[in-house]
Amino acid sequence: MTVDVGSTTTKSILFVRDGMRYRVAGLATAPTTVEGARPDVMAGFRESLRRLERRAGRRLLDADGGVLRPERDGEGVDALFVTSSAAGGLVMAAAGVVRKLTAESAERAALGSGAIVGEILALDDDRSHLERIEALRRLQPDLILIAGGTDQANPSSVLRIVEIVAAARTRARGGQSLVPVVFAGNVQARPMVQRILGEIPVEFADNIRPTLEEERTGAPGEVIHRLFLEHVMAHAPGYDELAALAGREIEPTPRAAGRMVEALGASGRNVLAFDIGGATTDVFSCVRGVFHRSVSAHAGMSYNAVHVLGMAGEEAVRRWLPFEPAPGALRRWALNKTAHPTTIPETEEEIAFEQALAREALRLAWEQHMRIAVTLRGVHHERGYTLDQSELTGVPLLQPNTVDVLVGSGGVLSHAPSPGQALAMLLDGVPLAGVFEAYVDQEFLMPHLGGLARHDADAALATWPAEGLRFLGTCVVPAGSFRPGTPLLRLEVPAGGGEAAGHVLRAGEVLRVPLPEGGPVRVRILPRRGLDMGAGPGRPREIEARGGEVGLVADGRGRPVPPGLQKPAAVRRWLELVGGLPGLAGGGAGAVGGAVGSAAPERGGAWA
Amino acid sequence: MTYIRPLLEPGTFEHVRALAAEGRVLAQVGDRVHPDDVVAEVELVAGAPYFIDVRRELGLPAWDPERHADALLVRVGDRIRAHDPIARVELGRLREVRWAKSPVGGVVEWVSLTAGQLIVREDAQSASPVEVVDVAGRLKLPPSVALRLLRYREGDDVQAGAVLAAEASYLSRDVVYAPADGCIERIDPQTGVVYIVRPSTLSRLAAGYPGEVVAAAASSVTVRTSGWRLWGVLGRGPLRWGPLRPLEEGEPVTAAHEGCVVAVRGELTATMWEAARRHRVAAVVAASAAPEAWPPEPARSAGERSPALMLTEGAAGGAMLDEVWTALERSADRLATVNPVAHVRAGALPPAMVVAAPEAAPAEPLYAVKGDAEEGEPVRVVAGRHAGRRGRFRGWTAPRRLPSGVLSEAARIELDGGEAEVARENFETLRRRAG
Repeated sequence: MTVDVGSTTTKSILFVRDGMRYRVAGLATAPTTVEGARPDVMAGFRESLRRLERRAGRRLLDADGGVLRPERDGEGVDALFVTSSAAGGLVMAAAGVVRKLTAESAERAALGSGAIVGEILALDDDRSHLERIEALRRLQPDLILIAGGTDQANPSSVLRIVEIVAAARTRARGGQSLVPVVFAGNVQARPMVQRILGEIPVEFADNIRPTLEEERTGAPGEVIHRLFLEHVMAHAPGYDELAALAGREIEPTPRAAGRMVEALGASGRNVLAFDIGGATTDVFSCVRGVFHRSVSAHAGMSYNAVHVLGMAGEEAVRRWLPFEPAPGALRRWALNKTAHPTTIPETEEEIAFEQALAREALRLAWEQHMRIAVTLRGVHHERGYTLDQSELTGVPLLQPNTVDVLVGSGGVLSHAPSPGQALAMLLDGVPLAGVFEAYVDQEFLMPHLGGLARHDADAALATWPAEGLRFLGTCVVPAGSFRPGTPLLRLEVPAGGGEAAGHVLRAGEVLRVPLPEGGPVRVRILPRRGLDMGAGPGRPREIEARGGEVGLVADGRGRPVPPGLQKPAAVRRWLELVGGLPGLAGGGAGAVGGAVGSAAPERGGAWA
Repeated sequence: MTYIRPLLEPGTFEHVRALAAEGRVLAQVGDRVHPDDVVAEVELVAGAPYFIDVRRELGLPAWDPERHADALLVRVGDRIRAHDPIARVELGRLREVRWAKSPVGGVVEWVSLTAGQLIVREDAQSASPVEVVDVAGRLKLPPSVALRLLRYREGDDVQAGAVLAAEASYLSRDVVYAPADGCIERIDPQTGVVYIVRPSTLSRLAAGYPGEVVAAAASSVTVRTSGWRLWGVLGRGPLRWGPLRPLEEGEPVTAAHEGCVVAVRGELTATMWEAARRHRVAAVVAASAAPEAWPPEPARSAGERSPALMLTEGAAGGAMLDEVWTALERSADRLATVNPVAHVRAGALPPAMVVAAPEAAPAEPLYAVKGDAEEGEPVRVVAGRHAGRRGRFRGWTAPRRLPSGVLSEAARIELDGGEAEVARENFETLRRRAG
């Protein structure tokens, strides 16, 4: 059984082993109870389990409110994994010697451990020591991670950062205890670090940057996890009991979710995943085996709806609406959503507002992720003709055309009334190009399966597409800006009897091409001269494509989508095509300007 | 288990009011206080951070943390007085002892063992209001010559770090910097000394809430207020207080409301908000606000006393609950304090108003319950097409597609104009009991 204690909802899932994977035997949710009249996380936890008992027809709680373990005679469970992002999640400060080198590595390590990074300190961050000290005190993080200095370097510089942290003597939120420090820098500096920090609790982890050419962001993961349990969870109402119940099997939700992205990325595909929450948006990527996570702390769909509107601008949100809203209506909706964060869209107008806001939240989170997911800076390279551009230092690892799998999750995507709406939000909000598959994690299984993956990653990975991952479709998106009407590429799709049907994608158009039911089919992409669809400029490419719930979608609008295609009539046509118009359950199939048939719905099953 | 939060509650409420720095607490336990009463104060000369390069002063080698650690006599957090020794070193074969002393009193904020430097945050209360700068002595020039190089005159304002005087020679340049912000009060032509008067500010802490002081510490007091508390859903602005003035329907905000807490039963319009700002109203408590009335994200220009704002229903229109409005009307002219600060994440701390009117307090608390209702219970709709309306719960429906296309269980709610279906997530049951 896995339980995720979110900021608004506590969700419990009962998994049963079924051959090489798990099967969902029951799922239940209950409101999280970390606020309100009697804050105690255990109340929501137990209510969720009681509901799960009813759904699964299986006793899970004992007479004292504990979890029955191990399973016996069809009662109880063998193992319990708990993830939590309630009460603000894990807030960390990251520190390093140089902002673009070790401080950035520390930031990535903290993000990879599931934290929200509230402050980044570096000796070259253009602030005085006092300003750095005050910034730390103001933030009141749960943990401070310090990196800096390769193992062979002079430890003097990193010790200066340690001194600043020591001077700040940061106190924990809601308490007087000193915030613990994780030191993952130059190993030679450890005795001095211990001496400088004095009574401030410090834990040592392997150096994140043992050499300039190497970054081990996972090095402090275990230490951070332990401190999270001992120092952070202990301060939340009822968490001490939850921690006692779950033992060490409790971890920050994003950490567990990220493990699934890593597991999928380990199969050799480049993965990008978004989780749009009520307060924040998490982005995970695993490109060429390198995992990154970023979190946009203010890009949330409910608690921060007004904030997203403010950051993106009302005009930017309004351009994604298929109608012209009444003056002030969008702002009024966003304010009310912030005031009542657990409400759901009831009218067509409300869902259009929510989905338009989600596109901008995705865009903001994507832009932030692009700043995090970069190649190591400061690495020495010999320049030569064979140098791969991506090997340059500080270059974004994640190019818009490097992604093979795009996964979306979070209420606005998972509970979108039609798969076309989810796909439209992803395609509009995340400016990917090339050829990629799009999925929605229907029940936000990522953290749950991430918990299971700690013990059996293969089984957890096999469970995902079968139990909750909706395959939306294969997307073919040429990058760049084009003159409207210009032919961009031709798609040759098997049409039965050994024949292939050809579909021409023109600039400014979107095609929704039906694919035969069943397994993947070979689709030929013939781009125009100079256009690179993954095989080189102008060169044809063959892909194994599946239709999914929406179909094969070829998007010729260009990236970024030009303003001319962001007017109500154009947005309405685009949404109608993919079945993404609010209130339209199925949607029309074909192309903007000419119908070409309908796509066969297909649900999960296995990875393509 | 359902989500429950209080809306309205009678009782006594304690609020801690604290100074930013240790100061004088003027109130005593048992004192009755008005929100305007000053309960604590602290006089602050802006405590400047003093950077002291001990390594240079004592002639220690660079990058020798062990040696620096041996020499330094103070640690971060130590409180020291002016001229206290901060480092000691023995040099040479004769073991000559050298001392480094702090030029100011205060707290050691930062110590760098690697660089042999430290920062002393000057104690704001004991900081000298006058800085004496020996310009002639520092430039090693006769006073008459040194003062000719002075770049300021008596009465001029200077900023910390500004060049007071500089002398450039062929090989070097000697500079005297202003050690602190202030005004040059006097330049002594006989000695070549400049006197800078540093501005001091008296920071006063008002009680903020009416009631009785029940605790007084070094820098804080706790005020207990009897009456009732109203919780909101959105807020903006600082803590504000004043006499409570519920507005009649159609009554405008006028100059008579200056310094008051104005209550609006329905929606706050942009016109009302502008009038509230113009007439320096302390705070506005309204059911909802028109989008153009909601203050924009960045704070308005500094110095402008924009009213605090708290909404009780949201932004979807509708009026305050009858129970709330009755309590507000019965409490007219009584003192109210609005704390609109909300911790947005997870809604952990919603905005609230405390009214010192125990006789007008509702007899029982009122709660908003989400996700649970019994036949006939009163409810309020908070989102969707019926947002802002009240009614009675009649029963649940099977999960179905809403007009938005979202699948949800719905409730049958009896509204004024007949029965309507409202998504389970979009209404709150109004209940007198928490359990």
